[in-house]
Amino acid sequence: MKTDTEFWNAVNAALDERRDPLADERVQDELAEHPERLDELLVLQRRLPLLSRAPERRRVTPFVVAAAGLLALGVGLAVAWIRGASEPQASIMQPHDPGDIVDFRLEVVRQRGGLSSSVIVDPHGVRADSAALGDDAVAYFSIERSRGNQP
Amino acid sequence: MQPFGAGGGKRGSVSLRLTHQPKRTAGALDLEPELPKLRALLGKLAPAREVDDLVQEVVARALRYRDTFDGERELGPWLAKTALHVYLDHRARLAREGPVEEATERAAAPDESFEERELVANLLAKLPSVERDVLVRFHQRGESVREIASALRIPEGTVKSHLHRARKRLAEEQP
Repeated sequence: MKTDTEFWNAVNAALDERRDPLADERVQDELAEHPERLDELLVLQRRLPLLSRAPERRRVTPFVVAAAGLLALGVGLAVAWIRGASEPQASIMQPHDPGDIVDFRLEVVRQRGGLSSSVIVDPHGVRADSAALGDDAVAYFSIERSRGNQP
Repeated sequence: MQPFGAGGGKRGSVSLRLTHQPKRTAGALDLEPELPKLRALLGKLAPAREVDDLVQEVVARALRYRDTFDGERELGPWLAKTALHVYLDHRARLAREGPVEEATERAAAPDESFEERELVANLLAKLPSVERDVLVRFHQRGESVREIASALRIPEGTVKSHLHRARKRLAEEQP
């Protein structure tokens, strides 16, 4: 066994069967000929148990960016709606007043394998039944205004 | 237990050139030049305080089984493999007696362990998503290759390929 590939094949075969590679005859033969390869094996054996303790790093996907943007928009609308509801109505409507937002709803839905996850933003707040939305999520947004004075 | 060559005089002053009659070639089992390499190999596996004892055990075992050594082959690999067996036996003995300080644990002091966890997290994030998924499912969640193949709807051979590539990246990546 001379090549690095064969060494790793032996290491992987042992790990696939959840055996200690150091106790594997083929790995031992390789290490006997190339003791320097022990370094990488020890690094791997040190890092594998850390997988379960490693802080999770989620990749920022375009969907995540879009969802974050939509959520920010939703929160902004919610704030605007709450302010609009609490402030006294102007007696004289301003020109081109688009009207008050009387209701809105932003919903990001992901369906996979018969299961559905969603994040909903509406005047009642933000609700999520799962934070783990994937790339295949779909966003729905609706807004309803009072009539205003636009033509 | 006294380290090999220590005790009465300077370390290494004891001659290790021992005459033996191997199966094919008569010659000497010249262990002394191999001792630094043995010490380095075992130093990667065991705590420093145990290395001298382990080297001594390797030498004792080499002498005990010298008749099995093929004199036409190099002594280094034969001794290195003997050293691996000695280490595994030593580790098994310690495991029977109590908690074992694995090489993997010994190498990671608390601070280093924190840094290592950060490093592993970064390495995981850099892996292609399918490799990361397969690696985490197998080594973190304990799923079998078959279960992963079924969940991801890919052949078991493909799962292994992803797993093997991910392990190699995890081993090779430097901080």
